[in-house]
Amino acid sequence: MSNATIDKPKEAPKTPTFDDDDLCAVLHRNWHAFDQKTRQPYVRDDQETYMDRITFVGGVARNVPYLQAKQWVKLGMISASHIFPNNAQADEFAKATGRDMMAPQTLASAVAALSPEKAAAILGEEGAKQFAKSLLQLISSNEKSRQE
Amino acid sequence: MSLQIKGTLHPHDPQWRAKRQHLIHKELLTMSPRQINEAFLTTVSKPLSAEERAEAQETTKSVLGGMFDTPHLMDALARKSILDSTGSGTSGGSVLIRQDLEPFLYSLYVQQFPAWERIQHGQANGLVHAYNQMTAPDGNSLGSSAISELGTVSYNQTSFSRQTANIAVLATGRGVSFKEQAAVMAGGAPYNPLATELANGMVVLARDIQYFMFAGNSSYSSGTGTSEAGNYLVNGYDGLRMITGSVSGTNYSGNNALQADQGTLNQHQSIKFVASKIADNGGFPDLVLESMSAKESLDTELGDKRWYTDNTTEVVAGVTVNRIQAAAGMLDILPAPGTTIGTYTSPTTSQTVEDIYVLDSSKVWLRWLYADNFTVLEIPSGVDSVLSSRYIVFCMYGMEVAAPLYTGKVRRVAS
Repeated sequence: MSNATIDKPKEAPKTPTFDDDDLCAVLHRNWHAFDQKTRQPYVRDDQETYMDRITFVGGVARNVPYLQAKQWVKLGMISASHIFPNNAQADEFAKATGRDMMAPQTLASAVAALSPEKAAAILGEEGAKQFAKSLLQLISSNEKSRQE
Repeated sequence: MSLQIKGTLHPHDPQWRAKRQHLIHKELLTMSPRQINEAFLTTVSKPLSAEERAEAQETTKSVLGGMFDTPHLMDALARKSILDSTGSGTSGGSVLIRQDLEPFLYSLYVQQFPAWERIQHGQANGLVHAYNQMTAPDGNSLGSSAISELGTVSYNQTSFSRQTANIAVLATGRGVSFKEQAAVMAGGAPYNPLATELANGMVVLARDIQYFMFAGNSSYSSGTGTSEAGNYLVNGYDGLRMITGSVSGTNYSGNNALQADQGTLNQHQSIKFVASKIADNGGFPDLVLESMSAKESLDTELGDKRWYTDNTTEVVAGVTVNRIQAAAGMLDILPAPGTTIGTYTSPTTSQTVEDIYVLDSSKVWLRWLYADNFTVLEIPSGVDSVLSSRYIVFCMYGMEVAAPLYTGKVRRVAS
């Protein structure tokens, strides 16, 4: 018998599969994204909008037939990676989109309300130091690029 | 019958308004644009008689003088303007309000853009028009007004947000040099360069009024041409794109106006969907404003349906538009010419879209100052040592959307 080891096939990222009749959750392209210039969210958390006859609240629609979602993808209205199982929660949306779980305005007010003592307590002394250092670096590089 | 208003009256005079309405709706709008243009050329080419001129001077003095004579402004200071008609004899200018020209220009405009006449007009209440914008008629639950026999009546209040609409001054100066006038006359060409200038000036004003009505933004400095807020121009007024939109940070975010992106539904279904949602909110939608390309696409969708092609209504004399039946009644479909509705990046789909507005027209007002029409001022020739004949056409308008929850938009991928 050969001693060769067989590599375990790498696990492909799990993409949910749906039948046309399945109900799913769908995100707006700009879910929890914000305008870089104005720092305002494109879609507010309490905002009700419609795509065709489907209601989106805060950029999320639930109970959307997969067939409908597929057609929206085809029309370029939503991204294929923004279709989720009907019971998916904000953490899954955040993971898939690379955006924050909290809406930008909620996150901004939470960070603004954070005292240095509290931040140090949450992050630990080393973590807080690291965070402060990276933040300062980012601000100075932004300033530099603005001057150029 | 003479197609001219004899004499000059104060723009607030009911007699002038009645005469003007009669001339526009009974005489001019029944003509084709070419016929109106011909009539305009005849009128503008004919100089005012000495008597008419004297009367126009008197009225101009009274109108402009009335505005100048404020207790806060010294007469001497107020009357130094080149446009001043309040002096007597040769000390003042002799600018003239040419009321006889305005109805022609107005009619040419309304034939191109009937929505202007279809939307109600009202006087503004200040430099900016201040108004209450209803965001919810009643926050109480269904049936909450039922009380017991001797129960205490509860008082409820409509939810309002206090808004101000800027009243934009839109003006264009138009003129032709004496040399050109003389040259055209000498060459024998059968046209009047001044009339052409005036008509073109009117096109510019009409275009800008429409632009502000749809895509105007005078209150949100971060707005850009490609965003839903629209390009920021402080001297304009806020338009339907922003008021019925969902731009966070504006005065209108959270005003409960409806937004629907058109995807797999066709335009007819999308319009009806928004109309039914407006009706659910308590409004009575009756007007749809859209671009010419959107109208063309709707015509293509419904071209083989007799209930569409045969269902028309005359919105203003001589101008007939299609109507569609929605859940809450008939919707007049009024297309707007040009590119004034514009396109922008949809905040929800990131596609380039254009708006189709579905409105309850009883809740939308065009607010005016000075006069509910365009005013044509004739500037005295050679007054500033330049040999030319000049006119200024101007108007002052703003827009009020009193109940955004009775208005909505369909965002349609721009074609």
